[in-house]
Amino acid sequence: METKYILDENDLPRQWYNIQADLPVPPLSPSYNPQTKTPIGPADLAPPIFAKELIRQEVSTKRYIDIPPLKCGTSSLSGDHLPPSTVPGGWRNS
Amino acid sequence: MLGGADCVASPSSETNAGRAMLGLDPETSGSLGGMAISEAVEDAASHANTNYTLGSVLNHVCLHQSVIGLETLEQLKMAGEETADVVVGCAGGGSNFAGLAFPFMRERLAGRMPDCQFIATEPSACPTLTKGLYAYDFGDVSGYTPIMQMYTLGHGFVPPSIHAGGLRYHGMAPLVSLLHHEGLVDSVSCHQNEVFAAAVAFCRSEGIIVAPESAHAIKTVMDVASECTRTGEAKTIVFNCSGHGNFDLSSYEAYFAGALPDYEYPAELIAASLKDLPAIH
Repeated sequence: METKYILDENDLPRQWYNIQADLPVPPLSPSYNPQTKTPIGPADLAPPIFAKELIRQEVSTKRYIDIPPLKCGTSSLSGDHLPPSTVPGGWRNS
Repeated sequence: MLGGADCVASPSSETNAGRAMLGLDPETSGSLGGMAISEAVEDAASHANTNYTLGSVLNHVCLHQSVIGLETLEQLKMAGEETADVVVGCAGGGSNFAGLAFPFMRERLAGRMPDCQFIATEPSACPTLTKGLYAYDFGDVSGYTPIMQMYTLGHGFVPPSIHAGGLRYHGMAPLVSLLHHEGLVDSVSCHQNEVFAAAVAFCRSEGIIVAPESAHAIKTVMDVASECTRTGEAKTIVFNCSGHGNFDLSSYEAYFAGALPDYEYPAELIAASLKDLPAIH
């Protein structure tokens, strides 16, 4: 017997869930600048490496972050789990 | 390439990082986290019109992947299930595991699924969670990327060339690492032959050719289910079938030919690689 549970497109999440808002003690440790070995801030990640919004998301402790409405198609060319991150990441970098 | 982009195999001769790696070992098979990331970051930093996007590990990637777990929670409701007992995912950099697991972890931390168990599965050839050290380490071999506190095999780790199962990164997402360190996420490792055997069984049962990476999760699911059969305990097991194996048929071919030796990454090599960890005080 085959059983499938297919969500309607109206059930697509409108917000990402950020576990940084709910981490148990201790909180996530800061990352460090590879050259200075000092705690990293958003400026250390700034373009030309990462897009600004991705930096904001990287350090955010908001529990839910709105998923931007995308105008491009989101069908998977690769057939794996990567489109949920490559599409918004690529869109933010465009 | 199909979409019009250029694709360069790493290590390449197009970056300082790539040339350095090839200079050390012209025959190297490369590494995702070590060499490919170093080359991509160098390329982004040296071109004004280029930014860098990482496919796993980082917090924002785990964030984006959370749609997996959020949708799975809705699917469970459709199936009439209020809770999951076990959540299983394969773990290389950690993002697909995080994507499925973190919304369920939200439920556990809020007390709505207090007994939910989380299992991250990895290769015995690349045992980041099961044999790595929870320490500060670079995200890449050349030291271009931020130093993160995570489970690591050492940024110089290169997976053995005979390993065909993927999940080859030396580190693990800091968020997944923290939860494992706090005892909220368990980890198991599998040898590649038992992983491919699980993939074949899944294909013959479900008609889906899975990626070797995803097959690590399937192997663990089968083990959990077998234990349930033995004990008579009913459990709701959720796992992420994270990718198809249509591009991995050469690996399946090698498996059927008996050409995939099982390999457990030696403790002495891990210890040697961990000697180069950056000093963070």
